[in-house]
Amino acid sequence: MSSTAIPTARGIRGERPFIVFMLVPAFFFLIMFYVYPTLFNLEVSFTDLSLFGLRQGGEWIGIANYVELVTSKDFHRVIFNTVFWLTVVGVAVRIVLGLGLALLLDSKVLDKYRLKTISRVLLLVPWATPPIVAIVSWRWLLNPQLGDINKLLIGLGIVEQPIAFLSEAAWVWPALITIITWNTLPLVALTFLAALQSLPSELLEAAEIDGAGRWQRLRYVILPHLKPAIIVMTLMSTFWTFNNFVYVWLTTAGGPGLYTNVMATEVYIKAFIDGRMGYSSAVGVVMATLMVAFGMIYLRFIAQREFKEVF
Amino acid sequence: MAATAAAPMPRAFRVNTGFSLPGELALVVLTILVLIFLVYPTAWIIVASFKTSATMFSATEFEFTLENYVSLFQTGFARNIFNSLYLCIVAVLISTFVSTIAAYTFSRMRFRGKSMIFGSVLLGQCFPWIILVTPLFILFAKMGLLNNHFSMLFVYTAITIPFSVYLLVGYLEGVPRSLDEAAMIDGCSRFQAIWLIIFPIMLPGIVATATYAFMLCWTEYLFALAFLTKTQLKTMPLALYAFFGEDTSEWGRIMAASALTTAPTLLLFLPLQTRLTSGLAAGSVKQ
Amino acid sequence: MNRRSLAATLAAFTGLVAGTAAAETEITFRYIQFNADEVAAGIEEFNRQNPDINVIFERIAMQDARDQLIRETAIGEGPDVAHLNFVWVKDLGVSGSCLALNELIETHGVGSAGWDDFLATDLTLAEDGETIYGVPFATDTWAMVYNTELLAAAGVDAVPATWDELLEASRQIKAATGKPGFGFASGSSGNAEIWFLANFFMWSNGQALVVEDGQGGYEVGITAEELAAIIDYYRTYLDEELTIAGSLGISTDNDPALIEAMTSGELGAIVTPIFGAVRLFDDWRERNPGEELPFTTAMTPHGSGTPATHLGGQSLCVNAGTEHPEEAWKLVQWLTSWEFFEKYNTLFYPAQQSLLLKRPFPAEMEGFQKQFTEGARSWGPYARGPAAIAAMWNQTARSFGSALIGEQTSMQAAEEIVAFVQDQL
Repeated sequence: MSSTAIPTARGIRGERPFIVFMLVPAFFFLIMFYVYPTLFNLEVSFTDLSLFGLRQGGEWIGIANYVELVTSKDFHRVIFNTVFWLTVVGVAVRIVLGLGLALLLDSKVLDKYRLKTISRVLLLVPWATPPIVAIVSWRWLLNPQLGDINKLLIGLGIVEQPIAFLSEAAWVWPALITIITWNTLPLVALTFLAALQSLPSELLEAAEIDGAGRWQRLRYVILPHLKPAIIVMTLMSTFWTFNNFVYVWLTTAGGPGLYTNVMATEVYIKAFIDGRMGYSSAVGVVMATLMVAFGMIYLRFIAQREFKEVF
Repeated sequence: MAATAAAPMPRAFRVNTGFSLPGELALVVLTILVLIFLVYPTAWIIVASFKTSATMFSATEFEFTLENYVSLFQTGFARNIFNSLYLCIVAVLISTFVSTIAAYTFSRMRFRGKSMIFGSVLLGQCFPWIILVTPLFILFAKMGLLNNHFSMLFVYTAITIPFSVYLLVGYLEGVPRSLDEAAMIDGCSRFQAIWLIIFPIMLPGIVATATYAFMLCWTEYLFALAFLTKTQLKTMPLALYAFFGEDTSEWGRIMAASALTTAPTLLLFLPLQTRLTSGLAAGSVKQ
Repeated sequence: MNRRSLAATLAAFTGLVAGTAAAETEITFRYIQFNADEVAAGIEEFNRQNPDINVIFERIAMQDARDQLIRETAIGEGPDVAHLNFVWVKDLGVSGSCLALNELIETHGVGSAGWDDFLATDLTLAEDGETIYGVPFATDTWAMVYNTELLAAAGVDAVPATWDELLEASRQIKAATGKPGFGFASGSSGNAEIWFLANFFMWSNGQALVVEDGQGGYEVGITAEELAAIIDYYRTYLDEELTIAGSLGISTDNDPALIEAMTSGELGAIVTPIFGAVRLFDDWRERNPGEELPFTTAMTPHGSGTPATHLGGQSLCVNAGTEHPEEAWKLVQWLTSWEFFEKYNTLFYPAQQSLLLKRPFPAEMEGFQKQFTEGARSWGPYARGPAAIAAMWNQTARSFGSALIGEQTSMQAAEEIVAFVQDQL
């Protein structure tokens, strides 16, 4: 883009009231909504505030909550579950499948068999389904006795005994990730599909004339074109998944045992079941810190790649 | 290739897809399987909502009934639908407006600390909501805003701003700056330039952003749970969730409520399909 | 500016309406059980009988009710009268959420035959044993429901009396029919009902997680070895596939997966609260009209002691911050009256001895009747002691869960629970 930027030194001064006017509404919301509660959490995390003592307040106990957290065996697993299963595996599956789905939906074959419009419309169905509804449905589909998935697997002769997807240690994470992926895949696939459509067809044609096979075209033309979209979606999916409470809580409540407990559910369990608001806030502060650190990487990336003009 | 060499076919069938016929058919089958995977869980709920309680969880039996819906509306669910619609629509309007003017400023103006300010707006996306609930509850209580739709409008506006700003800035980056500059040189004020020139071009992006924001509000549960306890004010997800009891759940009502919660988003999405695609393309994939 | 003038008009209008109804005191009642429809009708009846009071009825999901009330009362908000689980009352009272009711009880009386007529009153008392924070409202207990056809097919003549007999019967049912014998929920959420099964087992062996130490304090009343044996007992059902597949994925013994398996004759037995059995029988009759019920009810199995289940239920509490305690009390009196239970709370049993006699159990519920009179105990020291039931419950369910999936040994899990409870005491 050209560098014929409007502002000159004079322009900046002259437009200050305008800038303030345009930004103040957004900031009013953001400060009240994000900054104030974060400071509140920070303060509470240094106290032993209990749920039943909200009225009386807590005592200052310094960094005791953080010490307990760092040394807790349970918390190490919570971190592992959140970072590895929920975020790394969950996001990777979503990106790979989203990419595959976008390529499939962009294929000329669908055009030819008149499947293009219908497939794009149906792609939106999972996205339009609220998480609570998605979980209700999937819990039934995955049910060992009554669920259609087990009936299908047994009918096809793939398994002999029904699989208890949400209770066997070997299956519970894959099942959870399936549910989350199902619900969130459309947004990812749609974004990639949109990016694919902006790929100039001459590029592909040129590659084809040069003798590039299908994989080579994918590797050297399509993927490089999609790279910014892939990176942005990876980063954003990470925020959305890492922070999400609803999926894990309503599907397994962190069980069996604490096998699928993640940071968001830990915050809830500690605050509202064990009644330890102070400790829970400390978990929340760690959670926010991790994400803000991650967010910095994300900002660096979009500052360099996406929004060069803005930053 | 096989497809083109085959006997006379309608025009569309002569498209060269780059695949052999078996390859094409494999792709078609794959597509159909994927679509079944995508649609089945939602369809299952909608079908179950029309089943009697005796056949609801039985795969083989099916007895049609409207009883689930009748009993759902007896709980005053129409009011919950209205609340959700009202809250989400108003919040989306506010949020989209606020985000649009902020996005315009970030995209078009230069000022000191801009990258920091813009960065901090985007960082809003990385806060876990679960840690915000209790502090906000206390804050709103002090301000007398509990059980009040203003607090929910505030929350729903706030949760949608960061991603909306992100999408819209991305979109604006695709609109040449020379456009508004030309308009201003021609004597338009900045507001006129925004309203007459930029806004119409941005419309698809704004629609995509608003749709996304609507979805976020429509399915939100945590904040609504804490801030709305009066039956009259509750939103659909709250009413739906209340049908899950400690020892027993009202499955008939749950299925009917689930179907009704999904329906508006489906109806909203389907017509917007093309706009969403182009909006997202411009918004989140800066070329 | 249109919006503002609209708001002003609305405000003026609301003021007008409020003005005409100024004589009415408005209070709020929040209910947590699923029969909200009939209870709401009971509230309307109250409003008709008391034209000077207008009660607004709210319904909240039980799993969110306690947290929400704590948040609200901490800042002086919340409903005037709240419907709470039996075991929440003490904690909420101590935290200042619930009003001490002694004075109201003394001046206005309570229930149809006074305070002593109520069940499980120990759960409503503060640690001083005197301050009353809640009024027991409805009560419930658990018992067994067996499928008589499956028992007969397996050659089991009498319903199992001990835990070992139950296990043996389950094995026989499995061998004879291939179907699971005893279905239960072994999931691990914070309110997973494996907690009840663990307690039923230990109580019927004369053990308990929390007991009084005889010096005014509390101690753990079970050793890690004994607790590990309980985990192993339930684990046997999972290992030998004597319970429904997916048991670990459900947290309530009224999960449709269990009820459906019972209704369709695919499961030998369940343990369930009263209305779970009622619902099962209703469902079965709907599907098999005119046929004889193939189920029998019985007390829970026992170990070295006698069968024991908990006396469950809900209490009513008055918000400590209410501006209308008198009106709230009037509502509590209505909600604990026989008239209310007779017409507007037909699914649950009143938590007053004299009223219980007026609601006899049907013949098919004989096992529940027996359990209720002979085998139901209060949480007692669990509630009176300093450990929060919710926290012990969560820990027990989590540790059981991790042992049941083989993540740790039952001994490790048992030690974890004992250490946690000890720490809390």
